[in-house]
Formats: sequence, C-alpha cells, structure tokens
Amino acid sequence: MRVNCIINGKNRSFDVDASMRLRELLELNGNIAVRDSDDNEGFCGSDTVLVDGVPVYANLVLAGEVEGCEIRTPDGLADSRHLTVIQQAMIDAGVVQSAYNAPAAALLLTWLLENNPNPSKEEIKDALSGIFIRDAGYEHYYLAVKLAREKMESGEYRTAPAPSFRENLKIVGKPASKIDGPQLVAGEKAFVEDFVDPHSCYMVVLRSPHASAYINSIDTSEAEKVEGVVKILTAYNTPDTHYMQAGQGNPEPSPHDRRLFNLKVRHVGDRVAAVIAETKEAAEQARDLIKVSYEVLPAVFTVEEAMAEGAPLVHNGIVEYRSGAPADLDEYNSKAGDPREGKVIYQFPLHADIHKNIAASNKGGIGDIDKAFREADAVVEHTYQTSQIQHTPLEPHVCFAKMEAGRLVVVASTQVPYHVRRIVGWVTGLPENKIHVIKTRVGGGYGSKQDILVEDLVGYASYVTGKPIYYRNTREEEFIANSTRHPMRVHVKMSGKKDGTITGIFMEVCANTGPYGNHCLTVPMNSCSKTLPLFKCDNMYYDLKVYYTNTPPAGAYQGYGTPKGTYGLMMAMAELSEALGCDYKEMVLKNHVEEGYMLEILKGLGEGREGNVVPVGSCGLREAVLKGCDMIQWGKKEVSDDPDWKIGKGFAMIMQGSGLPGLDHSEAIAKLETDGTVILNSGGADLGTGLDTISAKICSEVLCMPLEKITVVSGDTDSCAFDTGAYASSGTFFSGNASLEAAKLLKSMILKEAAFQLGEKEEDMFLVEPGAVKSKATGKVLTYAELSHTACSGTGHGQMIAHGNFVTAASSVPYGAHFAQVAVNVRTGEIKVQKFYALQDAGTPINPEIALCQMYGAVMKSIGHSLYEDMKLDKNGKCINANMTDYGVPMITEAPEDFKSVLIDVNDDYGPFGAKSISEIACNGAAPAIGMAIHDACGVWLRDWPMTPEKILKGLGKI
Amino acid sequence: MEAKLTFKLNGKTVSIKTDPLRRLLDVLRDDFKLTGVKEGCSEGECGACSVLFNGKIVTSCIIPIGAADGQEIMTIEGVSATEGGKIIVDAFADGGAVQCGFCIPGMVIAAYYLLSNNPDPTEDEIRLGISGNICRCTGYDLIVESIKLAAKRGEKIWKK
Repeated sequence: MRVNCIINGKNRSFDVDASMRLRELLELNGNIAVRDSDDNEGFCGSDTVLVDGVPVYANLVLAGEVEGCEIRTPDGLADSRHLTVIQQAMIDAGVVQSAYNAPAAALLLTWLLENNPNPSKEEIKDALSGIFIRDAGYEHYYLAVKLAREKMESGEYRTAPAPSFRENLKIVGKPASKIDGPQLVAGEKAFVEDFVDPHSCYMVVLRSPHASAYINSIDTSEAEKVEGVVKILTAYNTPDTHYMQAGQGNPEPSPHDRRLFNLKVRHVGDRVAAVIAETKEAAEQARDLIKVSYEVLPAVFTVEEAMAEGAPLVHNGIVEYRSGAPADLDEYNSKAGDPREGKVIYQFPLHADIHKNIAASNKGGIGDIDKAFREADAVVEHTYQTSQIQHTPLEPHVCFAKMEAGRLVVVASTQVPYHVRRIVGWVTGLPENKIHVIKTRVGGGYGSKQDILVEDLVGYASYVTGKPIYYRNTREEEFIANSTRHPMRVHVKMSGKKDGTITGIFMEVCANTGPYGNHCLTVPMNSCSKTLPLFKCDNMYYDLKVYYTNTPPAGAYQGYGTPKGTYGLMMAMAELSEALGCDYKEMVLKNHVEEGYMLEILKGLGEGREGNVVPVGSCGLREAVLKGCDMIQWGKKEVSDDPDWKIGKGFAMIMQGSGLPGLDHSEAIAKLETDGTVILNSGGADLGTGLDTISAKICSEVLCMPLEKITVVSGDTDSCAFDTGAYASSGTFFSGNASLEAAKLLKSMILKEAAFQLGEKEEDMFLVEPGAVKSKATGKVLTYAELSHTACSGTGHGQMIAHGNFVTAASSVPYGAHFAQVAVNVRTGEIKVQKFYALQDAGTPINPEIALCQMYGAVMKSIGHSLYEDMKLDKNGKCINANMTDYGVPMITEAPEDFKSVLIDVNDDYGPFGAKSISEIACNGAAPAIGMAIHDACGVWLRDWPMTPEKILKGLGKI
Repeated sequence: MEAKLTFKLNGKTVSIKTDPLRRLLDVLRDDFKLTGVKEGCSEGECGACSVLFNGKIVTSCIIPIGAADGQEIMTIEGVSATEGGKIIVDAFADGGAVQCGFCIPGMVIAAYYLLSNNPDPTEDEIRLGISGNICRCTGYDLIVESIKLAAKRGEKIWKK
C-alpha cells in the first residue's frame, strides 16, 4: 500500500507493508534518531516522534496510519552545527550523557515549549513521563527548560548551570559544553548501529531453554537449507579456547571458565548456536529449525542451594592454574565429571572450590574481633539480602565486525576497547596488530559494557566467514544473557560501647555470580574493601564466598559490590545505634575515618593479591555528613496531615575508589598540528560520562588554548595508546591524568622548540592565551601556528608529539553521604521518597554540571534497586520479567520531589587538578538511607531490597 | 485505500478487497460473520479475540488485516469443527468451565494450541497455556480441570 506523508516538512511517499511500523518507515527515510531500545514495547521512548503535533511511540504506530499526516522527528530539529536553544540548553544543563534518548527528549521539550511557553514542574514531568533516562537522571531536565526559557526571553542564561570550582583555573572546574554533546543531542550518527555497512549479514543466537543441561547433539541440517544462511556456529565447529568475558586487567582475577560455545549449558539463555545469514529474517527462521538434544540436569539458583550438601555442580570439569597450582591438583581433578563440563582455568588462585560451587573466596581482618564482641555493651547481628538487578542501558549490547584488508575491524559499544582487542585476539587466534577495535559513542554502559559479552562471538564469526556481521541483543537477551548485579547475602555483626564507639565489625558476604565467574572475586571483595575503610575501628573481619549458580550471569555494575556492602554495614550501624540508645548521627561522627588515618584493613583486600595499606587522603566525609544533616534537618520529626502516612529520615556514609592503584594504566598522545591546534589521542573510553571533555579541558588548561582548538580522538585501538578502560571509577583519575601527563610534556616540548626558534633561553619562555609562547626577556610572541609551521617545514625538528603514561600507587578515594526522607503509608505499604540529598566529595569536579547529573542518575538507579527492581526467576530458572514494563525501572514520576546533589569542595593531591571519581560512589547510599528512613517512619527494618509495600505490610504484621 | 487480500480462513482460501489497516478482528466478525471471535479489551490483553495465525495464537484486535495476506487463519469456528476442538468444547461443557462464556472461544483456542503442542501438560503448563486469557467468572480452576479432561479424552489425537 502507498503512504503519503510529510516528514520534517518534506513530502514523502512510500510503498509499505500493512504491518510495517512507523519507526521502520522512518528508518528507511534516514531518520536514524528514531531508535528502538525496547523491542517495540512502548516503554523507553527512544522511538518518540510527533504525528500531527502529538507525541507517539513510532514503534506502536502502523506506517499505514500516517497517510496524510505531518511527522516530526528528533533529527529534524537542527543539525549539530546549528543547535536549537533547547538542544544547547540540554547540553549546558549536563543531561546529554550517553544520550541514546537525548534526541527524543529534545523533541518532547520542543513540543512542550511550543505549546506551553511557561510550563510548571508538573507539566514538564508530564511531557517527559514517557521517556526513560538511565544515565543523567531527570532532575536537570527541569534546569534545561529553565535555561532554554531564559535564553529565549533575554538572549542569555541568567542561571548558572552548576557551581564553579577553583578560581585559579580557567576551564577546569567550570561548566562548559560537553564536546560530543552537539552530535548526540542532534541525533546524528553516533552509535554502533549507525556504522553498519549496507548489505551486512545479521547474526542471531539460539539460547538454552534449560538452566542446566548437557548438549547431546545439535542438528543444523534443516537450518542450513534456509536461503541466505551463511554459517551456523556451535560448540562443534568453534575453538576449544577457554577464556572469560570480564574486561579486567590481564591476568584477570576471574576464572577462564567458558568457551565461545560450551557443551554444557548453565543458564536459561546460555549460548547454544549462532546463525549468520544475509538477513535477520533468514537467521531467525534458521534458528527455529536447529534441533538440539539436551540431557537436562538439576540446577541451583541461590547461594543456599549452591552451598547445600550434595548440590548439583555448576562446573565439574578439569581445573588448571596458570600460576600457584596446589600440590593436590591431580587428585582434585580425578573427581572431574563429564568431559562436556569443559575446564576452569585460574590465572592465579582465587581460593575457589568448584566441587562446592565456590567460584572464589577470601577472608581476613585486623584486631581481635571475638574480644571486641565479648566486651561490647551491645552487639547486633543481621543478614541483608539484595536482588538481581539489570543495568538496562538504553542501547543494548551490540557489535558490528568486518574484515578489511586482512584485518578484523570490531565496531563496539564498550568501556574497554583494549580488553576487547585482547579477548577477541584470544578467541580468533589473531595477533593484536591484526585487530582494530573502534569504540563508538556508548548508549549506556554502567559496567555491563565492561564485559566482552558479544564482541567475542561477532568478531570470531566475522573472522571465520569473512563477512561483515551485525549483532544486537534483544531486550530479553539483555536480561537473561548479559550481566547483572550480583545478588548478595551480607551478614553483619557489629558491636559498640555505650558512648557510641564501634568496637568490632564482622562481615560475611555470600555472593551469587551465576554460571560464569566474571568479576566473581572482585565485586564481592569491593563490598568489603569500599565499606570497612569508612570506620575507625581496630577489630574488623570479613569472610566472603562467591557461589556459582544457574541464574542469569552476574558481572560488573556501577558501584561494583559496594552498594550491597554499604546497605548491610550502614543498616547494621543504625540498628546498633538503636540497641545502644545512641544518636545515629553522633555515632557516625565519632567513628568515621579522617585524613591521615591508616587503613590497615586494606592489607588483605587487594584484587587477588596483597592490598596497599595507605592513609586516608583528601576526605570530605565529615563535611558531607554535617551539611546534609543541616539540609534535611536531622533530628526534627516530620508529621503528615494524613495519619496513614508516617515520615522518617535516614542517611548513609559512602565511599568508592578512583581506579585501581598499581593495576590500572592509562596513556594519551598529544600532537600539535601544523596550524597550532591539538589532537589528543586518549586511550580512555568515554561512555557518555564526559571523559573526552575532561581530557580536552585538561589539555586546554595546561596549554592555554581554547577548548575548540583541541580535538579528542579516543577509544580507537589503532590510533590511541593503551588504556585499561573505563571501570573502577578510573576514567577521570587515570585517563584524565594520562591526558595531563601528555599535555604537560607537550607544553615542555613547545617551550623548548620556541626557545630554539627564537634563539633564546628556555627558562624565559612561557605560555599565553590563546595558544602562544612569549619571551620574558624580549617580549616576543610566537603563536603555536607559527611555531608548529616552522617545526614542520623542510628544515624543522618535526611535529611535536607527546606521550603521557600514567600509573600510580596512590589511592584517591571519593567520600560522601546520602540522605533520604521517606513517607510510608502504613495502610497500603506505599513508599514515597520525598527528599533525597546526595552530598559527595569528588575532589575538583572537572565538569561540574555533568558531575551533578551523574549523581542524579546514579541515585535514580539506586532508588530503582532499593524500591523496585528485581529479576524474578521461575522454578526452572527462567526470568519471568525480562522486559522493561514488568521489570519496572524508575521513570521521572518516581524521582524524589525534593532532590539535590551537592559537590563538597575538597582538593585531592593525586587527581588531575585535584579531581576524584564521581559516579559509581553515587550508587551506594540510597538503599541504606531509604532503609533507615523507613524504620524511622514506621519502625520496620527492611533487610532485603527491593523494599516493597508488601514487605512493609508484612513487617507491620498486617499481612 | 483498498487492497485485495487473499488468505486461508478455516481451511478455505478466501479473498477480500478492503482497507489493509482494518483490524483482523473486525474483518472476521463483520465481513466473514465469524462472531465466535469476541472483542473484550481491544488492546491485546484479554485473549477473547484469539485466533490461530499460521498455527500460533494471536489476538486479532491488534493485527491489521493486511498482515494476513497469504497467511493462514483459524478461528474458533474452524477449531471447534476439528476432532480435537470438539473434545475440548465437550470437556469444557462437562467440566463446568463455562459461566458467562464470553472468554470461552479464546480459552478453547488456547487449550487447542496447548494440547496440540504438549499432549500431556502439567497443571503449571496448563495455567501458563491460558495465561493470556482473562476469565472473570470462574476463577480458572474448572477451566484448568476441563483442559486436563480434554487431554485425557483426546489422548490419541493429541499425541498424533
């Protein structure tokens, strides 16, 4: 059928199929910013367009329905060189981060202000109520509207988008437009899906319907007959290489316990086969024709089931060690089961025992914990349980790979381009010089894209077939075959004296890593190493065990174990304060660490090796606590007019790290181009967090030149230098410091070359704005353009290229405190977060407006896991809420009514210009703060998240 | 806008000239007078308008008729004329599964699909099998029992 419509003001005519969706039609028309992030579910709003002036989800409208209609799409607003006031205001407010939904949000705000130039907060909320934002939170969208309205009215902003820091610096610590903002907000080519070559093949994966089973046989004969099928990969025709998918430093503290395809499937959704075909339809048709014979095995889903005597074993094959093998390994291996189990290979011992489903363990501590408990005035002992959470990045895991001139090119949405290259190299057998990983913009990562979950398979498939291949997880696959937050059982025993001194802390952590051991040691370890050092306590002990189970896999998720540890420890501390009859705030002030305190507890908490005992460095913890208490009026009891609603308050101390000292490694290359501009090749992986902008600002500050004269090229393994990647909150601290090293070195090269060219002494040279060298002795000025031109002319010294390499043993820890005021309805159990104040010490916030939005976004994620999110498995291990609607992430309507992020001003000795990390730490506070506030409101301690109305009513004895 | 559409309906090839964006449900009820297909919620939730589309259950209220071109549709009228369908209908009547009856055509379609693919379902599997169908009268138990009865009575047919 023929459809005639107007798209962004142009008449268009299409032949469409009756069941074609409007989004597909718009894709044909080149409107790439109308994206799909929920498989046509109508939840996320990435597919928002205006049809005859009304916002609709283009996936839920049939193309045939728009006959005669006028359609506006996000990319029709403006191009990146001519942004609208609203688009620019969004960038300036800091909400354009990973930005998969930023173009759609820009369209909605445009629609709102066109129809209602002076909208109320409620009207803005209503306009954005159908769009899901996971990265930047929703709070600064109100600011974006305010900024846009100011500029429309008076031609300039009257409100500062964020506070400024460091008067002595020109651009670092000041709000400035994110350098990749225009491209992202305008909806131009940015993500992997935008760089897929025409006529590429499509790959789909056949996944296990069983939580645990051996594969007896796979019959692909019927599937191969489908026209267009290129290749079907299974365990029978792929390499026997064991590896793991966690993007961690090599050698990894995770076991190599999987192959591309295994002959034992270990969770519902595990890979069984991959079909590569000329079209998606052919690939799906062929997948349905693959016949698999399974020998179904009993499975375990919880740590309790996994640790039970005689429990089914998730891994029961041969164990090998690359180093540190125990003497009795042969005897251990004599108990190995079916050869289809495969192997588990440790790079070094993780204190694992696969015959007991233990993937890793660790224990240690300081002082005499038993004595502390014996001599205490009160001891509390409780268990805190957390659920399995999915990151739900708007852009699912996606990869495009092709062979080009004998090399494998992998276009990836990743936090770890160099780990992708290494692991794809292991799987294909290609050396690193034959693999080119190109990181595009990342449409949301949050830790899930630290793992090489699809690139291994797509890269291998492209290498063996020689074909360009595109693959994209469905939303269901994001839940069942991806990575998730480890469910944990955190048992805490804590003792104290009547004066509020904490005398002993014991933490027993049982974590569920799922079927494979990605991050199995380090995530649970973080739940101790990023919590116990909050306390000045001489007797602390931890004991952690990590279990294999047959749930969907777990992995890295923003916060990396710390949210669970913080939930347990801070809740236990609040319970102890109640038992001791002490004021919780006074207890916090009495026991928290301060600058210079020696952290002996870290000795045993390295990443699989001895940890660094270091003193506490820059620390804004006390200020955060005191300021937050003032803001929320700690100690003042709030009373609702409605007797059903009870109001309470709570807060939690939080900390994280800034990368891994001694393990993380970042490099950057700064080049002075012939016209005096700079190209900075950063190994760092900006995943929407503004890391490229940080690198550019650092370079701009050091070289006294404007931001627009610096271009950052990052995440490209061919042109950049090595970087371990964006994880462990390392981006600003490590990659930023590498850019600082490169910029400083380039500065010294510029000074030296200027002295040579002017025939003067180097010590007389200094840099002046906007990019020139001046002589103190003669007053002569040489612009970078003149300098570089001469250096690169026929007789010069050549281009000035500086290589920065950053490694450190220093540990810069961000601290903070998160406060919640919660209302609980004691009749219905309903919970409302009325106020949330996040106060954090990030050192010098290099991009303050983006930093604030990272805090809002992280808090929203953690309100999500505290109150709503929970992957539910049925008795066979199938996730029954593997879609956005049933899983239930927080939307703008779930945001706290009074929501503030505050940056505590502390300078750090080691961070670039004093900066520390900002975003992961912000996931740690909500659960304990809300949990305490619930208790303060209605007297119920909720010791398992999500804290739901049902659990409130059970706690109140009403059901 | 009209298109000529040809498809198989309850085993017979039929043709119709109509707007391809009309709902399959409306075409079945209004043009082919197959009024056993019921309209409940109009949003694909309640299952009353279920039909088999190339052998799979779909809710006909959210399918444009254009999508049926060249495909195969079975409605309750077609299903209840089959040997298996008759057994299910009788089992529903004998088992007391029917009260107001509005959801029953959809329930029969769901039961037919279930037993055709899983001749000996567990109770959980039966409940999962009718999880897309809302019944407001019975509380489901007697429907589940009736499907068990149909599984038993039609043992030989389902296992074919």
